[in-house]
Amino acid sequence: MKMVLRRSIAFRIIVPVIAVTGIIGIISYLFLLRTISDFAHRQIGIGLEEMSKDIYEIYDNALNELVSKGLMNDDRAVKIQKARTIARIEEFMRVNNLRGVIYEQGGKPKEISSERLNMEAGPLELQELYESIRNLKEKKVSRLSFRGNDYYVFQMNLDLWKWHLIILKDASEHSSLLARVWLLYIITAIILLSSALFLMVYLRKVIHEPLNSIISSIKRGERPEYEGIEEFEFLSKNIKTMMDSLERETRLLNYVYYIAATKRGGDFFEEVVRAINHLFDINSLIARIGDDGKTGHILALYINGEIKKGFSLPLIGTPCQDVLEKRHLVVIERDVMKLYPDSELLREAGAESYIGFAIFDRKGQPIGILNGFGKAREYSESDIKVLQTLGQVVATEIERIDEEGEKERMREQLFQAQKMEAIGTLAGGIAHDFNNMLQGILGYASLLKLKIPETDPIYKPLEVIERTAERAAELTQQLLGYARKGKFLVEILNINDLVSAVIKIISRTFDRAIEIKTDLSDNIWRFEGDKGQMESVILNLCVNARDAMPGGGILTISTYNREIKEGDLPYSWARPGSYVVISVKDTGVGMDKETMKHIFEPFFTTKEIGKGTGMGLAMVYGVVKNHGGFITVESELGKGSTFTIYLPRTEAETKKDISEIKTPLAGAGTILIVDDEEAIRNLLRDALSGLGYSVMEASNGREAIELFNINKDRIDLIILDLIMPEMGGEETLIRLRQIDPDVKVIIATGFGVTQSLQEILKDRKVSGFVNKPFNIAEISEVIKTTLFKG
Amino acid sequence: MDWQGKGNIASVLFLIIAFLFCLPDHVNAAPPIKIGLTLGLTGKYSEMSEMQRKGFELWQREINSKNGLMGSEVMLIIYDDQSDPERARMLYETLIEKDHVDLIFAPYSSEITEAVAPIIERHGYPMVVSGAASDRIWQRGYRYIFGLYTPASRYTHGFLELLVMKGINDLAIITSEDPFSHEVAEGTRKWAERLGLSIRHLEAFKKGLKNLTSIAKKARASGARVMILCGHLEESVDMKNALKRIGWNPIYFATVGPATERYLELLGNYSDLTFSTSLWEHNVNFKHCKDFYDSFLKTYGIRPTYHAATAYAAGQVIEEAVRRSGTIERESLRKTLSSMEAMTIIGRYKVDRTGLQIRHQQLIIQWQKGRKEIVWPESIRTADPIFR
Repeated sequence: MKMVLRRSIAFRIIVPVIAVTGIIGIISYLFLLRTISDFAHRQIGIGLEEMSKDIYEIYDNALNELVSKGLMNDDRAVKIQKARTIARIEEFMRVNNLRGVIYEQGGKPKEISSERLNMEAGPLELQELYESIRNLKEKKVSRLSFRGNDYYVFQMNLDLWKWHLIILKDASEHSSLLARVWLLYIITAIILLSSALFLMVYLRKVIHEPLNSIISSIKRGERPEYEGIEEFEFLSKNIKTMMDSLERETRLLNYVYYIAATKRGGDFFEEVVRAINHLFDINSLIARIGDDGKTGHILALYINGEIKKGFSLPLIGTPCQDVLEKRHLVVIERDVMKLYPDSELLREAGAESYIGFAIFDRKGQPIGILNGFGKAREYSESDIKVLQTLGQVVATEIERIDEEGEKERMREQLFQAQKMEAIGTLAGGIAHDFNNMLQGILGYASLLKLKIPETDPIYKPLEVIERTAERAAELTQQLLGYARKGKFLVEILNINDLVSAVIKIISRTFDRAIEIKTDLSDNIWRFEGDKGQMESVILNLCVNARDAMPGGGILTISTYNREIKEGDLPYSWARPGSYVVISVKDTGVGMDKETMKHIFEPFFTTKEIGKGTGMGLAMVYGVVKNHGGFITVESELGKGSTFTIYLPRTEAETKKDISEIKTPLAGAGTILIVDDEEAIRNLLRDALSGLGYSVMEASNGREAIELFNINKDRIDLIILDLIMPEMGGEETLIRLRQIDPDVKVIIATGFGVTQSLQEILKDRKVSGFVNKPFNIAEISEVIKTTLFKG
Repeated sequence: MDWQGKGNIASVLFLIIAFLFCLPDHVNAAPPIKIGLTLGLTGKYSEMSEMQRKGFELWQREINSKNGLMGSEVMLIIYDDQSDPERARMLYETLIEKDHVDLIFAPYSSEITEAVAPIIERHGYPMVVSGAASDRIWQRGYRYIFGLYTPASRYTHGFLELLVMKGINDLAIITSEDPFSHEVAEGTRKWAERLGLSIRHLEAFKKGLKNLTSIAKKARASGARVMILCGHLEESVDMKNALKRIGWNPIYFATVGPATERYLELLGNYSDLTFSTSLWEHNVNFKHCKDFYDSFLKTYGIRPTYHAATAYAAGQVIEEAVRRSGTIERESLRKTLSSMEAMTIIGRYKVDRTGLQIRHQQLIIQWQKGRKEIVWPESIRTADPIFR
């Protein structure tokens, strides 16, 4: 309660007023009244002294007169002169408003003169007074009180006549001055106090009461209705307006909340523009900003009672341009058409006024605009606040839609990835079996060809079998490539070299109507990869590009370096980092979205039956992914497509190419063949026996270990299949090494050099490896090299 | 036609004559300055009042002959107040409110002056008191009332000094009960005390009491050697007669009355050796004093008393004040009169802050063988005082 009192306006005004009043009072007392009083006393003292000199002069002149006339010894003359002197002194006293007495000294003191002007006292009392004065030690000016009056007293001796002179001056003459000063002081004090009082009452009337009336209304939750003093009326009206506005805003916010809570997407935006029309009686437009920043994709447009949406509008030449450029609110209350004569939308709406502002996402990036336009009107702060709140809600909804879209895309991608994985596994399985079968066909065709002369009538058919099988093997390779199980000979590669190699091929073979352009970065980073696979990836993309431009066009191959950050990754499984990028762009027919969804699936083709295998892009996808990279596609119908491949950069140095060997080489020694596929065991046994090797066979790992345990001194080399039932190649390799750490092992696999195989090659000291299906020449070379490495 | 022609000539002549007659009056184009006053031209103060009238009129004549006041003719308006204070009051109101006088002169006697002073004060007319000596007038705090001669309280002072010099001590003071006389008596008492004289008898009697014999007897019985009578002409004569009746011949002093020729006329030889106070005598050697005396005698055929001289002197004071102020504006005149010092035919003019005259010197005269001799102050005495 005390605190409340202290903080009240009344208290804070009254206390200083009283304090100032008091200070003025004290100051005027100390410095004015006392000074005047002291000054008056001093002046009176000086005056009395001056007068005493005058009186002395009267006495002096009288004496001189007597002396000059030689009458000093004439008692009668002296008596007369004394009487005259007394008369003169009396006259002087009267003129100067003094009173007093002269005593003749010697014997009994005798009052010989007294002026009783205004002194209400009997002779006895006066006698007493004069006696008391005579007894005063102070012989000059002093003060005394007598019968309630103050007097200044001066006394002197006039020696020759033995007179003692006492002069009284009524202090009340000056006290009237002092009284006036006092009166003035009291009047001032009264004026000050009454002013303070009046001020308090007045302040209570003009400040406290109006404020109270306003505050109590507010406390009751009512609108203040104060009328009277302009400032408070202003305050009251404003508070009322604010309360109205607050209530209105609350209603509006409820409305907005209702929309936000119950509507989603297109409905939401529709509802918002309807709401704006309902609240402000204006047309309105909610648009997303296009990537170019110049186009608005209309989310909802309310114009002349109609809702329109789902189209784009150029923003140039409209107030929206300013809104986006300046990023702040634009309010034009009238004649907006004069300012933006080119805006069709405004013209169509017959707009006179405009209000618009950009809406921002959570990162503060403008993502859209909200406009209102219509008849000339003014926008209050409250209106603007409501519209901005709507803008916020719209921004949230746009962001929500975006996030939903992103989630959907991610889900789609995951689904796609799973699908691809499933297809890959399926394709890999088929390809594996198919590969083994082809190994038999191809192997025996090769073997037979070795066994018969070229002139033999069966030689040509054997060649056909071999070529067909090779084509089949190629297809299998592609299938395996897609399934990320293709061969993988890792090298440090320069993408520009690969592009150059591919361009050599395509510039010879592509139609001249296709212009080939390159834009290769000079300082391109290196990457690790399989040269052949990567070349075929680029070639595949180029072929696809060509096929997309049947009437000719421009094929552009670009390479460049790119740092990819977390936020820029197109696939959830991709990793941020430094990438070597190659993009292949055509100006062809382009693709629709549905097509784009499926292009990387195996056997999906848009080409006529027989013209494409449907494995091209599937292989590309698999190879790139197998290389730790990723691929993106941009395409628009009628405008062409761009495929962009990102391959992780490597810091390692370039390795030398592996040279190829064409003819099977003869040799000697015992070779253990470990493969679950009987056809392969037979092929290898026949082929290696033919080349001079002794051959032992095991159909699985366990069998191989047993055989090696018995014949480890005889066996010079083991050819080990990696994928086998019972005991796999890897485990078998470990066990073999336990028996003989120096045993020479060649891995034969149809899945290429995978990451795990790379590690096996490194750790288990594999002597060499061959890709299935292999030809005899290839494996004979590897065997020879391995045995000779010693 | 002839008749008409003669008439015309007559008219022209009349105009010329009228012009010539009017000429002196019209030398000053300014309107005349009107000065009003009342005097007891009838009644108890008629003797002294008549003298005063003559004094004022002589001054008026002379000032007008000297181009007037500030170049304006002085016009006196004198009413007879019949020696009645009430009438005087009424007449002064008339002078101020109806006659719209520019300035005023004072009436005769302390009694009447006291009566009209409040009116004068109220209207803010400066008044030089030429016919009153009562100290009380100046004890009322008036601002416009200025004394011209010695106040009553000092009337007898010179006489008492003479007594001291002669070594005569014992006094009887008898006073009429009018204010002036009372103040004279009081002043006498005070001075006697100062001078160490002994007052054997002090008695007052009602004004108008003709037989003062019993009082004279009491005075004689007191052992007094000197009889001081405070009153006017009538009382001074009555007391002298009472003394004669009881056969007592003390040193006799009487105020006012013995200063006039009338005292001599009434008492003849018996007036001899009577002392009195005079405010002026023609044989004092103040400037213009002789001129005034001669002029008065020539004009009126009689010798002026001090009453005439004080009236004339009042005119002189006003004349000097107007000259110094340069205006007849009354507030300016008041200020000038308050502070100025001047010389008139009756002596010095200087008042204190109450307006009381403080520089005028009274005279003590004594009738010696039918001659009025100045016996005090010593410096201007015409004869030595005779005490017998």
